[in-house]
Amino acid sequence: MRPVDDRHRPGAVIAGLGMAVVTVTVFATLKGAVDIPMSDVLRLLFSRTLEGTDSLWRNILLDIRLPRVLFALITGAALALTGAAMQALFRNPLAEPGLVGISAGGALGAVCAIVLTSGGFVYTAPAAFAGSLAATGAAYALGRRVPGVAGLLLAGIAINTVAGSVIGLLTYTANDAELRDLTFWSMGSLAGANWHLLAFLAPWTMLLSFWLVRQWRVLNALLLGEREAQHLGFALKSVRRKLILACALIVGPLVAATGGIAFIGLVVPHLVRMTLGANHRWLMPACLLAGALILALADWLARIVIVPAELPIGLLTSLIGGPFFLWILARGRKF
Amino acid sequence: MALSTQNVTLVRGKRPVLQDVSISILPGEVLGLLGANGAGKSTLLAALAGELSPTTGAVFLDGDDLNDLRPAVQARRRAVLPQNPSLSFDLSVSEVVAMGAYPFPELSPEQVADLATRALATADVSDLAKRRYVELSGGEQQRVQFARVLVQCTAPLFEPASWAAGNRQRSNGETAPSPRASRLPRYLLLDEPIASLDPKHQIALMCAVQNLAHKQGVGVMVILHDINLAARWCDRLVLLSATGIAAFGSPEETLTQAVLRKVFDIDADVLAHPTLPGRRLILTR
Repeated sequence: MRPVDDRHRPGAVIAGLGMAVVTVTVFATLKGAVDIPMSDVLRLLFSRTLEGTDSLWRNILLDIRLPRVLFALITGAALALTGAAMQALFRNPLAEPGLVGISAGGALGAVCAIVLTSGGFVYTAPAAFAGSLAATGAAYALGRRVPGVAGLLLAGIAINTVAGSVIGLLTYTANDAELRDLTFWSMGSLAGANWHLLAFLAPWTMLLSFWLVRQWRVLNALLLGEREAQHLGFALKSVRRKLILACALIVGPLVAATGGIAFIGLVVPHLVRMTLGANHRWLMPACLLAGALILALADWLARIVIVPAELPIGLLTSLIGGPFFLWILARGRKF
Repeated sequence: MALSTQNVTLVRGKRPVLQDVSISILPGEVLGLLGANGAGKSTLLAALAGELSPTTGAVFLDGDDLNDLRPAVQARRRAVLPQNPSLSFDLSVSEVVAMGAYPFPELSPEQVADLATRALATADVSDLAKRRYVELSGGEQQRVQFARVLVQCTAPLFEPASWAAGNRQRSNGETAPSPRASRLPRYLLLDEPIASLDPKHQIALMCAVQNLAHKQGVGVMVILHDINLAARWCDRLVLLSATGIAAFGSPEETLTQAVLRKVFDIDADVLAHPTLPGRRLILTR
């Protein structure tokens, strides 16, 4: 019997995570295939007369690294938060956008847009959102029919299979130009980050993420059960609808932009729960920071391990997340 | 003022589970609900809890149709403890108990902590406050859930009108009257709350329920299987049989050989309780 005293203090953990996020942001922006000395940063940012390598470095810093790191932070935070929210909504610690098919639904939408329209983020983002919304609804409706983890995972398998086969069919019919788009997109990468993408995705994602963080009471109540949540005064139907919609609105466009980054939504909330417990009051802000931290770190690793080439980030998170998932299953502990 | 059903008929599938049931839970009383398995006890509780809408008839909370009240309004006036609540995530006992205050977002953290401390003591789980809920035994979990609904039905409830008046006066710079606790009655519905408790805690819980009703004016309905516990602790009883209400009234009126045979299909002797004047003792043969 462990009393909860062995839990870490939430304030300290969140402050520590915050500092780590700042540190990683600075490091990941400066270090990579080209290292930019810290001492030069101010000069690069504010000097008006830059020549040669200096102007190249400034371009790397401002047009490549910074948007990419910011995009990693936002994507990681949002994926971790949606993972945590869905785990409470489904009352199931294994619910995760990738496992239950929401990412696959988003991917199907995005692929449809690439093959059936002229492509471009204007089409892929709404299509991915529609796909992930349909998949979330299906997972929720199907997953509740069989109690426990089984129903949800079976629904996830079915949705992933259906989405995968339709994606295969669309890929088969695609022409050469579309195939190239598809291939780049499906490798899963944050390399496409630029200020235009950020301007579109960041406000949207951050707004919804902060809304999710504020839902900690109802997420806690949902852990007790749907009936109990209703008896604690939450209008269940509308809460459920809003949460599903918010998750789909966050995950869909992110999938369209990144090609799907697996397991962040599973691993991060799990690690945070092991440290802080399942009270969403602390879990949600901690997930936001830890998700940002881990994805920024992972993206940095993906950039530097095989310089000058880089690993697809989706591959890296799956390499770490897959075994982690197995470990959770093997331990079979309460969450 | 009551939480009541009026001619409620509830059909699930094609089978009518409740037929023309009219009962009322009055503030300040403990109403026991007895009946054989499948007689519709939990369905009746679900109707009173606003989970199931009656096929015909209506449920009223102090005169208002339940369908017209938002869940947030209902939760401030009525707490429900369903059977076998389950929780598999890592929350501490005090975190679970504090959730009882969610319908009252106006309370300060200190007020919530104070309510939780008192509820933990009443449910005899003070020493478990820092433990993890998932690591408790079934009986301990049941007591913790009871503490949670205790918080919900003992949290101070302020009339929205008196709040508004208080705020207005404060903004005028006058001394604000402390908002008075409203006289709106509170209700508590318990579905077999003592099913996995040992005898000591069964009695402690029924005693706490009786105090809540008699001293704090809460209207309590409790589903029980133990006829003698019902006879000992309840002010009124409803006995449900498959065809509807078999008896509704004081334990003395309702617990008769004929009713017990009709409801439970058992032969029993109904005696005057040897040590508790006015109470009944039921001996099954």
